[in-house]
Amino acid sequence: MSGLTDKTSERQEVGGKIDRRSFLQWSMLGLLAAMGLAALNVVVRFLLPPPKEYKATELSIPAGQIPSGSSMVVEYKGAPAIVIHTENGIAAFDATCTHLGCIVKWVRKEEIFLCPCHAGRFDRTGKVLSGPPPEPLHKIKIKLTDNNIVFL
Amino acid sequence: MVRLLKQLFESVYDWIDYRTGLKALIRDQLTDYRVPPKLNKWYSLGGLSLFIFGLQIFTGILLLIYYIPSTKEGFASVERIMLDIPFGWLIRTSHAAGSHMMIVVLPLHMLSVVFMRSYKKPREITWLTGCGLLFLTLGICFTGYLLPWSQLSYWATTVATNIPKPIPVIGPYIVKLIRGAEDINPDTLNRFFALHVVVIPGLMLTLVGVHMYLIRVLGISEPASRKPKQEDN
Repeated sequence: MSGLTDKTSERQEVGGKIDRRSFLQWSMLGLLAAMGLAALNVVVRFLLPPPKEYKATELSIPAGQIPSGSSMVVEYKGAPAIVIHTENGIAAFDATCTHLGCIVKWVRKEEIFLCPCHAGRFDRTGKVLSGPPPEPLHKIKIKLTDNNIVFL
Repeated sequence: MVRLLKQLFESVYDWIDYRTGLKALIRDQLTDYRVPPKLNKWYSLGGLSLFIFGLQIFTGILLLIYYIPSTKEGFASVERIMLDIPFGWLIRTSHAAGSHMMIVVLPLHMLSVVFMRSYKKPREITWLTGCGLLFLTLGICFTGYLLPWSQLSYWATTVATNIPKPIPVIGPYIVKLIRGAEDINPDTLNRFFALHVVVIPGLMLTLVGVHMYLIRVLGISEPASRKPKQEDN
């Protein structure tokens, strides 16, 4: 340990690997990085939306809420779903447009789904009629029990 | 790997330096900048208030993301920040604690300048911008106090905005000008919000820039007792 008192050997490599100064510099850097990460954790958690609790129970809505000709948007597995009642009966679709993810709406008069963003049009079975969507709307399986529409 | 990163960093740094003169700036203003010897803790108060100012801007921007400046939703949004948003309590209490610290640090900073006679020629403009910053700080504390729209902030603002009232002739008009009406009302909240978030911080940033520029141009005022006394010899 004579190196401690000898100034000329102070920056010489100790143990052949790393000298005292760069060890301290890296320690300082590591400490600052750890503090920065801790602060970043606070900011990121603050900015992230608070976690949503998804209900494990199955979704069911009274059939009476959707009279013939009408439609209804519900939340299904954290995403919007659209239920329509036409002369073909009741059907449910993922309301997210297959083009760029806008939410489609049901146009009762023409019996089509219209996407407001780029005018994609789908018929009542979800098939693309016109516009840019590359594939039909995703159908959601439902079951009618008594007077309820149960999402499967 | 480390050597490769170092080379990459140095080539990017050189590229920027050649086009901006950044290295000389960092050398002259940061790494090779020498402060006068034997300065004590009192000389760190200006830097400390700058640090708190930066912290206030940072936490203020974060609060701005969830705060709603409205009499209907303001208090509820502050409650949401405190109770629902992760670490919201930390951000908001830091912002409040920072404002309190500012009120402690600034007068101490000014006292040290007064006692050391540092405001004298050629540093008068530094002193005046500092005085401006003190009043702006008081203003930003005052306007920020109303924003939670709680009982405390409502009545504190009622009392404080009443202060100019006894001024002859123009007093009542000043009160009306501050409040935007006879009483504290939704408009008062929104004009205080505009002052607190945009107007006063903008003015403060400008004055801080002038203040710091002058400090670097004129140098730190050295304690008179530490200067070499040539006349005595």
